[in-house]
Amino acid sequence: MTSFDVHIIVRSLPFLWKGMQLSIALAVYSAVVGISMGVVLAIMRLSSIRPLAWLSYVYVNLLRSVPLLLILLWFYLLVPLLTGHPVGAFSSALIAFAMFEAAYYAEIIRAGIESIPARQSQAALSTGLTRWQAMRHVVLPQAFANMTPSLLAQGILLFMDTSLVVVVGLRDFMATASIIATQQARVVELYTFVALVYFVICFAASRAVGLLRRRVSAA
Amino acid sequence: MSLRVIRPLAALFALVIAVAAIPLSASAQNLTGTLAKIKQSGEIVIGHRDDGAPYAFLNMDQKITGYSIDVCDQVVKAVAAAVGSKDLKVRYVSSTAATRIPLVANGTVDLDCGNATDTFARAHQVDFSLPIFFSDSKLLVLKSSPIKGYRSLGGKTIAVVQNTTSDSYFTGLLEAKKINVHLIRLTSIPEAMLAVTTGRADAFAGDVVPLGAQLLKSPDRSKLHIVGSPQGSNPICLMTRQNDSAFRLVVNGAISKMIGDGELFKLQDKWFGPLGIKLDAATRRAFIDEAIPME
Amino acid sequence: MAHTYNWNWSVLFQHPYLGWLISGAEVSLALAACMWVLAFTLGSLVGVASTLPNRYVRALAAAYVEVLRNIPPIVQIFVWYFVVPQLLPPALGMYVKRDLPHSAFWTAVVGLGLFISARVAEHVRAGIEAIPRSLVQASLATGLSAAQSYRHVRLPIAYRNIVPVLTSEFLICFKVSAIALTIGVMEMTAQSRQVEFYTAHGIEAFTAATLFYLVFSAIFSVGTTFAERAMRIRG
Repeated sequence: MTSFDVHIIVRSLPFLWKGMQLSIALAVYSAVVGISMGVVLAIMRLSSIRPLAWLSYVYVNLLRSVPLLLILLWFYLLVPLLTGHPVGAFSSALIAFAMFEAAYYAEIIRAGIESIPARQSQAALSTGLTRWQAMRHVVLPQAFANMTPSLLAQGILLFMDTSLVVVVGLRDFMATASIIATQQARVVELYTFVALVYFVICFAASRAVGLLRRRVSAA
Repeated sequence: MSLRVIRPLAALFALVIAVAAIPLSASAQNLTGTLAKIKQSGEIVIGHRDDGAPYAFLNMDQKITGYSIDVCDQVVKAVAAAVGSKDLKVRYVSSTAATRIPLVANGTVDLDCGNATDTFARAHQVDFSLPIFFSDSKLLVLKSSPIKGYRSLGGKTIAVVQNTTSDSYFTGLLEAKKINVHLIRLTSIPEAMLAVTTGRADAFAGDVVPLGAQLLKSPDRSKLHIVGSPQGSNPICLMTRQNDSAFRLVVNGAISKMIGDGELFKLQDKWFGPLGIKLDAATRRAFIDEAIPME
Repeated sequence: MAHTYNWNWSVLFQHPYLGWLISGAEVSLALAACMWVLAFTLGSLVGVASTLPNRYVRALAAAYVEVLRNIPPIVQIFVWYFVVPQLLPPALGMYVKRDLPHSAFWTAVVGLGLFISARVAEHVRAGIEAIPRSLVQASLATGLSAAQSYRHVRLPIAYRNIVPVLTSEFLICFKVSAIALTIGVMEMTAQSRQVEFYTAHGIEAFTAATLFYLVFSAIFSVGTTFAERAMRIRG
């Protein structure tokens, strides 16, 4: 077996960095959109309007029962068909991830909202705030403070999941490594590097989240 | 002449002119289907892949280019003439292998210019133009491999990319029990090539065009080569909507004209030559035979 | 701009497409089952190991969990498929690459199963550590050895407590099995993609796959709800 060639990794760093940029962009944008949608879904689920609650329930459970790969393929096919516009692979993937993650964020946020004692919202209502104002200014801020560690943890999972986009032809970090591995015939070095990088990033991030969690629960 | 004679003569003259003019304007007003839509909107919508080199792909300047695009440039000229439009706008719409057929069928795209292969199943949804290229399957193997062609494949392992024409070709052979191989179906060309270079597969069976393109890019060039007689037949065509013979005729007419004056072959040399692909005389003859005589 | 789509649900029932979809379903179920067996077994071993008194054993268990949890499953499966066989002794490597029947299937079981096992290990560890110290000490005070205390007291309680998270982990295992398509395992998602390629009826094909996952997720959820109820510890 030939020796481990570290130089190939060093030489490929610019190209690999481009792939990593796509992975990060996809993760960050879909997290932002996903959390926003998640808040809406959580409030719908907790609302007393039956159809809204049911809609949210169906959405969350539907998206949580199906593999992310299949959802990626769905949106890759459907988004251009439904909009009639040339939606690129990146946009289709972004929408797919946002809608998928929204289902998971919705559950975290719902749990977070439900964990705020009823006294808080009752107190808010008694000062004359409307239900919506109470939610927006009293309940949600406190809920978010509590759920930030869980939201971040889900974000780390989302970052790991972005590696699946190679299946729809997007050039993320792993896809670019595959291309180099093929062209330079250095599969061991490249895939080991990819695994190492993901490990370092996700391990460090989950440690940071763990610290944050301890600080939040101490507060 | 007195006025009493001139007026009826002038009226008769005007009538004759008007009657003679009817065919000219009527042909423009008799446009139907896609041609009518194009005339009305002033633009033709062309669907293409972003990564379908050398048929249709984005070049370094992110501009859409390729063999099929060049062919479609000529088709657009013919369409412009057919609708009587001096400067017809072209709108390029990006599509993927999964969406290109539905986008043509549902009216979003007027003409798909890529590397679509005419198959019976697909012809239920869209219409295909005359073939603009004939592709086929070949084998990419290590030079050190004993495989020299399809006859030496018995008992070997072949890698293909899922959902490509080579995939369906070999699966068909397997099911008809005409061949005895182990088929590995991976999800991308880099993976299939890795299978060969790491020893998981004896050969990578793929369409001769992407195989040629891959070989050019690979520093393993010296260790790999393409063998085998052409297998299967993939007629590469442009796609149009169904039930639109008028539009399809314009498209096929443009293609036939390019075959007749040799323009199509020049484009083939330009785009496929660097990949080491040159259509032989028999295939060129097939093009000439299929073209509609343009007299 | 039209929104018409050429519908044809009957393709799903035509030969050979129906056969492909059924085959895909079978492979997905077999894959998920094998993955779970591996994940549960290894996950339990590692989970228990991370609660043992020996510091080095606990560190090894922690390393196992952190490494396998923080690398995306698709990266892990690629490593097992392309990298590991290259690192094995040549004869063994060639066996794995060529002669092992259903090589891709077993590689997927290992590559994806280990990812799930790391998550299972965490649940098992949490379940064991959640048992009040007083209970543990009480069991040891009755004369049980450490191993017996695990076997007769701590593990039964821990496992019954983590049945809910384990069932959700099994559902995750079922969904993660789709990733096997990247190394050529023709499971359900791969087959639905193939139907889409041959027929250009993507919506119908993907709906078939979606229904498969929905139906079986529902079956597993209902089944495990009964199991949960049966195993719940009163009081």
